[in-house]
Amino acid sequence: MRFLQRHTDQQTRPSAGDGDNDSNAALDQARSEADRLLAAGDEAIRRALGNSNSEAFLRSARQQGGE
Amino acid sequence: MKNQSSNGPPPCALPKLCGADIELGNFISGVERPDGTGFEASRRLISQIDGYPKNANGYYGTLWTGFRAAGDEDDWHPLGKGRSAPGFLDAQDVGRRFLPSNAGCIYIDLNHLELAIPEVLSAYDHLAAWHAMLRIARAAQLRANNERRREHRIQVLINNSDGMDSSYGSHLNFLISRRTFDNIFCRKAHYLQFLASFQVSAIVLTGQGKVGSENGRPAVPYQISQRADFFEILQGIQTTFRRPIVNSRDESLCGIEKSSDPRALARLHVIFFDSAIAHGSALLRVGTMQLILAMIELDLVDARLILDDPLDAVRTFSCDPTLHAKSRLISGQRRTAVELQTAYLEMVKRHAARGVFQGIVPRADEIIALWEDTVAKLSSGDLMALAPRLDWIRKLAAIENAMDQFPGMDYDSPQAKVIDHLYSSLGDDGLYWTYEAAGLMERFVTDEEIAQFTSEPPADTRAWTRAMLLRRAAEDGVEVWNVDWDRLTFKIPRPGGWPAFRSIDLNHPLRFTERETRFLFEECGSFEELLDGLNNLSLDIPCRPSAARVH
Repeated sequence: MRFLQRHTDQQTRPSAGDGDNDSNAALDQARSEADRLLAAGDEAIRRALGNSNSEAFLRSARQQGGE
Repeated sequence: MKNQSSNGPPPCALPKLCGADIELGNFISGVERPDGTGFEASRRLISQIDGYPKNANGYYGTLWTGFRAAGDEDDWHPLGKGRSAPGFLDAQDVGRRFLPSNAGCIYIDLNHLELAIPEVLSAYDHLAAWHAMLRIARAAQLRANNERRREHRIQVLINNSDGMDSSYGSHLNFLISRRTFDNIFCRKAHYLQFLASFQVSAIVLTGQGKVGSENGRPAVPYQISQRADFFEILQGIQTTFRRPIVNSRDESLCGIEKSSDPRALARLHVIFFDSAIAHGSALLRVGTMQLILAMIELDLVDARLILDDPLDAVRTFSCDPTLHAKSRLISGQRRTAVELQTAYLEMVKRHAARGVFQGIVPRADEIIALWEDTVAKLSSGDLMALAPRLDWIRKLAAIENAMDQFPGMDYDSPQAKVIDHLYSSLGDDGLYWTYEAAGLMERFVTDEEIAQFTSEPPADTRAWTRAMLLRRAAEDGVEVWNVDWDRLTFKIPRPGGWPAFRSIDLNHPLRFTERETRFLFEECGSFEELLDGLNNLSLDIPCRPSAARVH
């Protein structure tokens, strides 16, 4: 299940009469830039998940209720 | 819709001074206990923070014995309940210490390190002060972890639940009049409903996002709000069980006022929202509340924007990250959270055009513009455009990016929950900070503004005088006996006699600003002369009538 991908697909499905090529190109460029920047975060995710036992981490994260 | 009070004096708007007290998740990584390790983690953290008072009311409430010496972390044991030791207190709220740097406060609440920002006037200052307190906490974490092995380091999360049914709060507070407080909680049910409905729909701006569900709620893969699962009642005074959407705690922290006087001050204590790290989420959380509360204070309440069942709506909205879910208004119409937020925004814009927020909500125009842009993007469905601005979308993107990297991973995988937690980690492994450093997050205050609040108090509230008094007491060798938001007490030595205990009341949070009191700190020779001067200051401030009345 993907929320953002599904939402993005719904957004970008071409419709009849959608002929503004300049704005589409700008949008594609913006998204490419976003993907590039996100790669920086992807490395952090790989480090986070690659170096830890996820189940053990979650068990140790138990808290008391607060407020 | 015209809503004009027919009883008592005309409505009067107070500047929307605001604050926060926010609990952090804290635990010892690699250690598993049935009740968690928050007791030890919180005390390790607060031991690294300096503040006042340095007596049993503050510092010594967090002392413990029984830990092994620093560096020997292989076999450590907490003091544990039931064991006594000098200076040990097992109270809910311990170790309260006010900071002479910025007049904020840090303490332990139910084994969570809790950060309370100094009182500020603008939502932008609130954002800067909040991030400043996070930097102070992070520095404490680093110092504490310098003494520990990496596999047993203290982990701090800026979130609101552990994923195992324990929730902790991110509280905001706002200055309102006693009249407004009474209207919301005692006189006008639709005022309460209006506020609750706004809060519920605002999660699309303010939610931090969460994998899964808790508190016996039906399972979901991902939801917008961390706190939505835990609200069980519309209104109530309690905060630790059957949590209310609107909290009725009546603690003005403005001295002992006569509650019958509608001009008396009150403080709205808001427990509803998630902890916000992204500048956009944090700014919108406070700024929109300032605008809505100003309208309520001026009797500008539109009953057409009230949800039929806010408790049902908060989960309906939270559990649909596609933003299509609708909830019923009392009119019978059904609206999405974004549609409802749009309606609130339009109402705010109409009143802003009449000058209603001038002098009440600083930088109201900027907040409204940001709100409008955010709602427009949410309406268009371009969620990724808001990833730099809103926590729940940035976190959602991080999890789905991870799914691309780790085939087979889904929302039920423990890795998804790990990313959920690590998004909010205060340390180097915190994904938010990685995204911020990479330029992926919008900034609405600068590093310099945040740094300013780590070392200096706001100049335009009583926080300034509080900080200066703490500093001056240290310089003059005067013992700080007790500190609270609206009162400080000092133990002043008297030559050849008993010491004197003297207090200064800072009853009005908008007074005792730098402009009002700096001259006393510069001109008074002795500490007692300073206290005399402060006590002589007038506390009478007339309430500012609205620039535009409803007709």
